[in-house]
Amino acid sequence: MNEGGVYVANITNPASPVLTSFNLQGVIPTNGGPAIDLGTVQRTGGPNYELGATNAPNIDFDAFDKVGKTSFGDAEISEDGKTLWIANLFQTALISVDVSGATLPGAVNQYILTGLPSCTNGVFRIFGIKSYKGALYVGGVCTGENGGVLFSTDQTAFVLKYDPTNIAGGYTIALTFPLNYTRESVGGNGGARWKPWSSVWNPNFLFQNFKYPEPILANIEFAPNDDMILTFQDRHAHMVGYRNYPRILDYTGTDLEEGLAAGDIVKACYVSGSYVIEGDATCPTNDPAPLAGQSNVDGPSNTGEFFWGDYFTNDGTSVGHEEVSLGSAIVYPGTDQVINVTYDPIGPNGFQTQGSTKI
Amino acid sequence: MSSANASNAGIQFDYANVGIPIALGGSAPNPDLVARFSQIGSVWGNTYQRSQKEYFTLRLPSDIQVLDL
Repeated sequence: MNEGGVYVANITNPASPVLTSFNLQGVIPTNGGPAIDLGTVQRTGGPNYELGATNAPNIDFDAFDKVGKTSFGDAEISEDGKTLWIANLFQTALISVDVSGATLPGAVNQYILTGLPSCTNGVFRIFGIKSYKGALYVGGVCTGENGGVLFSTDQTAFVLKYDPTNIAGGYTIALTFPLNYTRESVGGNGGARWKPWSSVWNPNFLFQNFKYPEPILANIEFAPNDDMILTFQDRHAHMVGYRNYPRILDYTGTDLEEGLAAGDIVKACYVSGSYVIEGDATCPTNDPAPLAGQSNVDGPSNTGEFFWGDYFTNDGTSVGHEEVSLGSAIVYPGTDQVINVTYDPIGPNGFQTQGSTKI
Repeated sequence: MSSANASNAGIQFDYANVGIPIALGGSAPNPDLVARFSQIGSVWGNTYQRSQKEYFTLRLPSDIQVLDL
């Protein structure tokens, strides 16, 4: 399917899931408004655009800048299990799909978000969604993509709180904090501080190990005490891909690039009815930085991180990669832990692996 | 890079599982397969509907994967 594809796996029998699908591209919403448009990615017109054979590297020129701007973001089932919420990144909208019946999809509505936070030198772009205690939370960032100043408040994260029965009624800001804080190393010599979203290939980064962390607020979860757990995804690692050609028109060389991801996992505490980002006196961090190369003056308040365990170590005494979060987490029920989707979760010799880390 | 068609694209595993799966030389239980790349391609945005045991996932705009060096 194309950019509008939604896959559904019924796992009533885990040994043999039954897979179905539907497509939301072009669907006229039941509640009115324009047709759902998720954008497109050019995949015809020669080797600059076509994917080629399975496992063969490609340029994929058009997809590069459409990561985080096209197709879907997060998906979320409502607390009553009847509604599938989806972020439409292209129209900056929320899609609701009735999934309460036997036939999928049921009624499809779309709510184009308006009155969103204003951004300096950038655009407000959504991704993460969470249904919790009767509210719908939507995560987004000011991208700084239009000449944003490096390490400034041009890049700021927001969590917006909506009434899911009245999206048009607008939102309140549940949490906001700047993304100009200190972060650890991606690995090697790669600092992980967030950078403005980029639309172009940077020729200074040829020859593998490509690092240029760009924030997507990809996932929102809540702990049993109502504390909020946010996971960020590194947009640029998706843009580069794994052992792909540089994004250069008509490229005929043989260099293969590897996007090295540097996401993050951050906590905000629920204090007297409001959310406070970690590092405040009411929301302390907990960062012993036990391995060589780790920092305890990083994180949103530059006082260390609450979730400091998002790292890979090969030798057990020093860090190989930090900020290995890939942008998704879930609270482990009945424990005080979070399961964070990461790369290289286990050392030694765990390079080029994927999995999860309990933090 | 196009995905390897036979590879797992969607998996499920128990919260309590820890370690390297048996299939990769470890001792942790192997994750259960939900769908292969040949069936759903590259996806993100996952959610689960408990009462009907249905897993929803969304098509990614490009066939890309993220690993490290």
